[in-house]
Amino acid sequence: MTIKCTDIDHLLMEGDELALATAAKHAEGCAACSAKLADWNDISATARGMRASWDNDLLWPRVERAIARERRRGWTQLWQVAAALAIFAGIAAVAWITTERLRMKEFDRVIFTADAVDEVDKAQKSHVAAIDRLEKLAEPRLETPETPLMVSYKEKLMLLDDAIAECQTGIERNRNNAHLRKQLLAIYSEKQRTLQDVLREETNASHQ
Amino acid sequence: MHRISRLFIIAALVAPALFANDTYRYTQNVDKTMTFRGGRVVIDHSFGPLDIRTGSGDTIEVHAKIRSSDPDIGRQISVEISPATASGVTIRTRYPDIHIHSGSISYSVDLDVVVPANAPLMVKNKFGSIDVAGVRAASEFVNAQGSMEARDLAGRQRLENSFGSITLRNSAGDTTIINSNGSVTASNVQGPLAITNRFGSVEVHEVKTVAVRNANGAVDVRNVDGNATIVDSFAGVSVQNVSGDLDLNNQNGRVEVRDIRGGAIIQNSFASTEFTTIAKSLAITSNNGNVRGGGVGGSAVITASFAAVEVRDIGGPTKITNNNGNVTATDIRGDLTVDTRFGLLRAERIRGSLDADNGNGGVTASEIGGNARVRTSFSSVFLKGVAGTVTVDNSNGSIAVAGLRGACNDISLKTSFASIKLGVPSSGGYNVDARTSFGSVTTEIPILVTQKSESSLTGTINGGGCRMTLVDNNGNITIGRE
Repeated sequence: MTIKCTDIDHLLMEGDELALATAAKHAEGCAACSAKLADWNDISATARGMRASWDNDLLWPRVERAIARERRRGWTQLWQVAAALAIFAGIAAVAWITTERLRMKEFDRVIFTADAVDEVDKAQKSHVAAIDRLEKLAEPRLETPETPLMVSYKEKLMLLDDAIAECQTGIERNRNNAHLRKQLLAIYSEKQRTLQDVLREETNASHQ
Repeated sequence: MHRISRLFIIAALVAPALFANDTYRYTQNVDKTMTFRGGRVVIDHSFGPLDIRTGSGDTIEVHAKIRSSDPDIGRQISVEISPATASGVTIRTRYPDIHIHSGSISYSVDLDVVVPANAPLMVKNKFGSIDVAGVRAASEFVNAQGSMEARDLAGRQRLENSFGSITLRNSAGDTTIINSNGSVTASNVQGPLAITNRFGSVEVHEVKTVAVRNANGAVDVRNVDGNATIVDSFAGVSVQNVSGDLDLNNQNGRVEVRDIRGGAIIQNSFASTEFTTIAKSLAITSNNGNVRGGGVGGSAVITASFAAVEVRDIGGPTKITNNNGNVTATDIRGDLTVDTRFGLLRAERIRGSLDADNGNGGVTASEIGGNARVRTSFSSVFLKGVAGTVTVDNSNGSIAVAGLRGACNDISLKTSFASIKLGVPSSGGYNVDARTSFGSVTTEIPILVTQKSESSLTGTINGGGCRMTLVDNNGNITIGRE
């Protein structure tokens, strides 16, 4: 590459290795440029010897704070991920608990728990006791029914007794089945009502 | 936030532990799908609800949810489904034999079945409900100890239950319902409907032709677009708005009938019978129960005993037979025939003739458009406003006749041990023959006497014409002017 003396300043200002090598090559054949290059080198050497460093009271705390902040941000992100996972796990657990509770509730609606059976047993015992009392009172009338209505009531009571026996047989092998227990309770209730009707009819007949 | 997160984590860890001992709630689902190849779908289920729905295709879908308090027992419960062949499919719930009498082992199976709408069904359940909808082929549903609900059916259907209710809505075919000790409700049935029940109520409305046979259960029938036949006992029967004829037989229960556009035949005993608006003829037989009503378009025949009969606004001839009960008949647009004993007869505004036989009961009648013939004893007879002939045969009871309409009609009044009092219109011409014993004959109007004694009088009024025979024994006879 051919350069002119006017280009030497540009090459020195660029200052990179290629530019300095090109300037040195040109200076070998040009005294003016050689002097200019020698001055440039002196100045550069002097400048390199003048390098100094010092502490800044404001900069370093700022840098430290920035580093701490960066560290904290890392932990926060970690906590956020952990919290999100925990919340997700929590929601999943609540959903699972709710589903399980619904399933249990549905199950307990179909198959009574021991507590529910105890309650039903209590109600049943109360019906049976009432029926026993009523049966004793109605027995003479039903033993030899004197009216078609009494015959009908007797027939109905026999039918109800058959149904009670059928339900009890079912309950012997399926004790907590809600339908069976409710059905038996309903039939006992019906029998109690029928016996009350028998006694009411008996009272009406005796008043006539 | 950390605290909340910890709580969630703890909950997540604890929750499974909460349900860890839930081994007594065993649940298992069974699902099967097959293609219907004809024949009949037989479903034999027990110990749980049975739901049947229909689909548009030819697929049979079975979904069962088995529940047991014992996992071993639960695993032994099965829903057997036979391969689909041209003769049909059988779906059966099988339970293991359990001989533990003191434990609390329990189980149940919910069975849901989807069948093609045109598949005939034979369905049985016990100790569970049946809920069926949309079946369009002849089918049979039998349940025991559980309710039954059916809707939107077509084709011949038979529904049978015991110790559970039956509810039917929207059935397009012949429908038979049999129940005992459970209520029956049927509505919107387009084919003939036959219901048999024993100890439960029956409620029917919006149906075509209906036949109900019940015993010891109330019957309520409304809006029948055809004939209705009802047999019941020991409970009330209410029938309303029947476009055809009604045939009702009840015992020991109140009967209430209204708005029958055909005729009605009603039998009842030991309870009251009430009716309103029967377009055609009416026949009632009632023992020991009051009969009351009106608005009959045709004739009426009423037989009763030991209770009152009260009828009004009858469009045709009316015949009432009663025993030991009062009879009241008003606004009869035909002849009235009454045969009663030991009761009072009161008749008003009778367009035709009155023919009354009473024993030991008084008779009061007014505004009779035709003849009046009355026989009674031991009671008085009051007649007013008779337009035709008057014949009264009484004993031991007074007779009073007044307000006779028409110029002249034959009059024959006979009694004993009581008086006869007759009011004669001024324009009437009569041949008078009045006789009594141990009494007197007096007249307030001029009579051309041909023979007279204290106890007899013969002559003519206004030149004679109609026959007037007045016979008494131990009573006075008075002929007065109107």
